[in-house]
Amino acid sequence: MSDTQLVEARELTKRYSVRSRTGKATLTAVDKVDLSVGAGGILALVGESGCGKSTTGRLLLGLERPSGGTVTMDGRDLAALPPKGLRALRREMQPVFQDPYDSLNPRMRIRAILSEPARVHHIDPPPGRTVPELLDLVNLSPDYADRFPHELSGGQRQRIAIARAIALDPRFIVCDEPVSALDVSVQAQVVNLLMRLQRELGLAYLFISHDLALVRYLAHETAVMYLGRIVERGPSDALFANPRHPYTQVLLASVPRPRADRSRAPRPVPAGDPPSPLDRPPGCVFSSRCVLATDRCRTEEPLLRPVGDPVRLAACHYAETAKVAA
Amino acid sequence: MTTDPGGEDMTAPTGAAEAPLLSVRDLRVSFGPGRDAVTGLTLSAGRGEVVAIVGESGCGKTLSALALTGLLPSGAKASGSARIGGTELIGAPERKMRRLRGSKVSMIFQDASTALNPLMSVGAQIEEVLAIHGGPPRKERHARAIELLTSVGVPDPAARARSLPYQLSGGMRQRVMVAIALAGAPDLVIADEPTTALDVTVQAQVLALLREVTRSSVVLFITHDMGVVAEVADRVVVMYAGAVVESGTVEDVLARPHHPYTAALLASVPDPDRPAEGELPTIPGRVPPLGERGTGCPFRDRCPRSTDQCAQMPPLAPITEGGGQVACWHPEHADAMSDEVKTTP
Repeated sequence: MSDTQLVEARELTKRYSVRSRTGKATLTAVDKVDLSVGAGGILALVGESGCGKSTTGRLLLGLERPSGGTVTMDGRDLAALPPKGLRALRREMQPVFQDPYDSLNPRMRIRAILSEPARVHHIDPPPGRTVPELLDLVNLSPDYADRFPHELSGGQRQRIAIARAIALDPRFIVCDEPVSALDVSVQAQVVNLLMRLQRELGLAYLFISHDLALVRYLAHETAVMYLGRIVERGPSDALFANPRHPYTQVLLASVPRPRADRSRAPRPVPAGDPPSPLDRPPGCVFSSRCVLATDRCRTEEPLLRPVGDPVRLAACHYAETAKVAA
Repeated sequence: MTTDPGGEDMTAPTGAAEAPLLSVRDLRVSFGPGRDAVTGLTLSAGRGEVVAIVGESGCGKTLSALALTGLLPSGAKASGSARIGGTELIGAPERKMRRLRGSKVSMIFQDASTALNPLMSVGAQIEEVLAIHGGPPRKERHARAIELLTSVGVPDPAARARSLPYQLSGGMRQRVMVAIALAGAPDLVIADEPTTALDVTVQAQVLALLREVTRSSVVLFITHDMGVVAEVADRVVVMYAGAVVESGTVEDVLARPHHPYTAALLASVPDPDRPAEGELPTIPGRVPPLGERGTGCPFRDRCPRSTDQCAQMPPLAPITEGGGQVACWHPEHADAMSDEVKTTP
């Protein structure tokens, strides 16, 4: 990693206290996560539900306070900033969420939705981009400004959510499953739009997704998360072509391929469900479902370390040789 | 796969002489004049076959399924015919449908957390189905419920039978749904996006399970995901805006889609096994909403191949030797009729 990182997480940890039947318990949602996104870069965060990827996104945006570790933007620690400084920094980082039905106020016209960020941040006159310009950037005609969200299709609403995110000219956007709620033919349109904006405006994305095909297509780098830990991280092509962590291997193998030359040969599928984050196995977090796990995996936690060619980071004691057989 | 080139539909592979177990003919669902949500679904399938109905939201795939189970929303009317093992499902009185649901036809929904009763143990819910549909006598029902849970791969089934739905993971709940759907040994299992809400590793488990435990039924598998189609189905019916635009064996349709919509749908999904190349191909515009669908091919406004001829609805006509059909005046790979279908372009 170069030292020109825009957003960086070090040892980022988030724990929640929860009540359970046996009294108080601690849920570790994010556990000592190191991540960085360079200016104009796209880092994908993939994993299954409950792995902590959305919490990580919220921590990077400063929407939640970490229990441990730091998030920095341009080298400034979010937690150390006074409220005013944090608010100024927040203009630089914006979210786009999954559900365009929930994230737009149904009582506001599109014009009001798109000018709200400037109002909230007390910016007068509003900076650079006018409402028609924003609509143009997301390929919608200016007359959409007078409509309400319910008059728009899912794909159009997501374009509005994207336009709102870029209204204050941010440098970093957390896209949390931005196309998962859309139909396949509309997904491609929104993905192409996100990619074009990223190039033209020099945006950096943290792209949170469960869709591995999409992630390989658009992300420069990919981090795979399991039970709060990053288990593998590296350049997307290297990671997808030759995954080293057993979890990455089964995750990739589980994706159904729309191929005619399919074989119904059994694929490596991990048994059972991911354990609860309240009840994480000791040692390697994946050891309870890994077919290759040894006693060492159940006691000694593997650290992220460089392996493979091209090189990437994997947290597995046996990353050099691990091969989950088909 | 046997073929019946002269027939008007795809023929089931089981015994050429027998009538297919499931036979759907010109099924239509309408919300009133000019508001036809399904405009003619015809298919047949034999025991052990999995037929996928694939399409995007609003294409009519779920309404077709609801019509077969007599569960259409009020205001929707079904016409046409759907026979399962000789029993007509369309227009059957509600009292009869009540008896048929669960015993002849059962359904697996996307979201098991809303489909299950939250206040009843999952074992009791399976026993309830057994009681309604003439299962074993009361004393044996509990054992049968545990047997069913075992068959769908629920670990520690005796203990799990006492669990309430919220105490189970999403994957386990969906396995329970499968057990309930199979409890009455139905001839037809309709699975409506049964793995869409699941994580990908759990989805792989449930898809493998569904193929394994539904061998004695016909399965109609409703999905929007071509990857899932490739995984579970023998044949596929592609729907767009209420109409069947293409059907055929999964191998044929995925290797050589004939309808421009099928081709575009397949092309707009990135490939996890290949590095990125350029922009994703997109389909311009959007699906015409109900009430704004004129006559003619419903895809013509978005189709790169459309001509004036497309203002007339093209008939679903045979296109491959494997029984494939397409409803298009200008299909891709139109030479396939004379070709041996072998190579992937």
